[in-house]
Amino acid sequence: MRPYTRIRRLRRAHRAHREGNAARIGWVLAPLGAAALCTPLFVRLFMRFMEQPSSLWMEGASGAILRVGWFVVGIVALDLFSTIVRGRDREVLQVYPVDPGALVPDIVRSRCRRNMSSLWVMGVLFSPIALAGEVELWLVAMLELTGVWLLAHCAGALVVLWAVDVSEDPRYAPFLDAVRGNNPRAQAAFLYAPGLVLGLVGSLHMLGVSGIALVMEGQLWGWLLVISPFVAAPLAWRPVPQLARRTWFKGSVVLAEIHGRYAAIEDAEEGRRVYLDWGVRWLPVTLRIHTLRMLRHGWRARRGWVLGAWWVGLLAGGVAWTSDPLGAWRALCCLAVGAWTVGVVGLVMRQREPRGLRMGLPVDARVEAAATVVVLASWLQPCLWPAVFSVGVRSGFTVAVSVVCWGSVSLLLTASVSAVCARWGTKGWPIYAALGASLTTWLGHVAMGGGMT
Amino acid sequence: MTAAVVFENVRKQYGRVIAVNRVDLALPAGCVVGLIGHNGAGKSTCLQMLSGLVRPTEGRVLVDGVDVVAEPLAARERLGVVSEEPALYEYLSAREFLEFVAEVRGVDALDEALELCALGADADRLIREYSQGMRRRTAIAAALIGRPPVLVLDEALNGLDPIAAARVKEALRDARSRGQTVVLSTHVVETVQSLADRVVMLGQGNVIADTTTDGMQPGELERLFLSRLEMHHNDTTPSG
Repeated sequence: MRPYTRIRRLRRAHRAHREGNAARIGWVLAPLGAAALCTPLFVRLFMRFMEQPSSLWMEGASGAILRVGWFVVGIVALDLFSTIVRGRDREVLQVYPVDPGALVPDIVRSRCRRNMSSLWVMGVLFSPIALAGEVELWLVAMLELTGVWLLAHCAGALVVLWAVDVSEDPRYAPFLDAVRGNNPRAQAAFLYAPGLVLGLVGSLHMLGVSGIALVMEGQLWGWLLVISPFVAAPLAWRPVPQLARRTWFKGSVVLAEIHGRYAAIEDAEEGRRVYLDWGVRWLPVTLRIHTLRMLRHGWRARRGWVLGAWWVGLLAGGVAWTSDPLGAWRALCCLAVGAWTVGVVGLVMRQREPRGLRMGLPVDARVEAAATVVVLASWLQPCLWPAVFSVGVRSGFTVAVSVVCWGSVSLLLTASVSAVCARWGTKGWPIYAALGASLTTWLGHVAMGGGMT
Repeated sequence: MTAAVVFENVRKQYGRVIAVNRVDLALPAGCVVGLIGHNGAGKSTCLQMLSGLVRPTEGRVLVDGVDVVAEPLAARERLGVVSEEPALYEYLSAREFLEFVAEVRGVDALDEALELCALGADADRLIREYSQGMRRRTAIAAALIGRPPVLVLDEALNGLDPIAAARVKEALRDARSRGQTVVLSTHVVETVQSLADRVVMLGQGNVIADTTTDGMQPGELERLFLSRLEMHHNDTTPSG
């Protein structure tokens, strides 16, 4: 057995022993529980085709499978970027003569194992199709989604490693300069890598989904399209070890360059410090200190999550730009995802804080929780308002007010759950995943009682 | 004879900030070289460039004749690195981690490393339960495994208790006697004077002195460092 695999198994075993079986089971059950809770809402929002005769399901089912597949590909792409480029293995192993051609495949295999839950989640979300008697459709859809999931891991690794090469290749410099905004050039390659994975794998997913329709019509060649991701996956995987040998160590150099450049940008950010002071001036002094600390540290260290949530907020705005009464519902679902994404910052910051900080600087838990809620709720505002604007224009003032109310409930609830779960360390993660995601969407579902009009 | 470590006209710049400016050094095999300087003088940047973790804006760094950026794997086979804040796997014991490093380096010399750690029964506890000093000892032991030709230690003696520090110093002297080159940075001048054969002083990214410690009296190095720093400051500060 390769040393990387052996060491990963050892670490996993030690961790399981340390955290106990409850946490281990929690990691498996939490996503399944969340999926089970969300399924009625999912059916209501994305599988209304099930209200029609089953002979007319295919078009609606294709749309739902397509969206869920894209979502999973996006998550896998981001996950691979964070583990291959910025993961713990790099921190520890970058100074040792490891063989990246063996290490990176091992990392990808471990992520496959970890992300296996997304397959079960998709199975649960689409289970109403099987329960309604369309077992064949469910099976073919799951086969296609499994292929896409596998391809996302293989192509994700390939693209992420390639991004390291591209980041410093002068041939791509003009393009990267055009799209990088305020970021260092090399960072632009990393920022767009997950998007490229989504584009490539997502395109093949579209073909696969069209294949499902053909298979259900009895056309055998549809199977070719359904299994195409399984064919593409080994092709994408083949160059990974060689590319890893060429780029994995280089990744550390590129990251150091990016951090150095960001440090220069952040010097300028210090000059705007006064606005943060101004923004929290109305808070009591103790709360203000911690709010300011979290605002600064959270933004500088974890801004990826915050920016990700704002993108979801924009998506919510786009989704709500329709006269369909369900548009506001869908926007609320997006808001819940955005809220959950920002809420993660609260957990990560607490988990990664310097050792001994809490001993040296005792903090009143209530004050800290309140600061977490204030900071997360502040960051969530850009997530909320695009949807409210869209709903206000397209569906009217009353519906927009409903979105504000339920969106705010969702945001506050997620922020509060994050603040509480952060205190439980890694054990808080599965609880947060289940509560933060499911409860908010579920509450919205129940409270709306089937529509906003 | 090829020098063990070569800095060829190395410069590192972040935006408008020059971290290291035109450093030229050739360090022979079998010596201990101390880098000293004030905070922000460029010591860590120099060592990160030597470790292949930071690319020079200009110039190149060679280890045993190997360019650390162009041939990262070959360079790492020749380097043992202890960074200022060593990263270790939290859910491994020191013994397991050292076994892993030995396997990666293709050697079977664990006893020596464990002896240097001096963790005793703690070697089988998870690293996440270790103190800062225990972690540092583990990282130093890992860097010494396989006896790489060049050892790079960035503030590596910080946080060690006197017994552990003495043990590590002894291990570094042994490494020198075996022909390994040790490059260490610190801002504790006494440490350098007691350990190093040669001292490179950095000020604002420039080499302001490069001297041997032969025959130096206690405190002499510190006086030399301060006087060179003042001279450099006067030279670079515009008058009037």
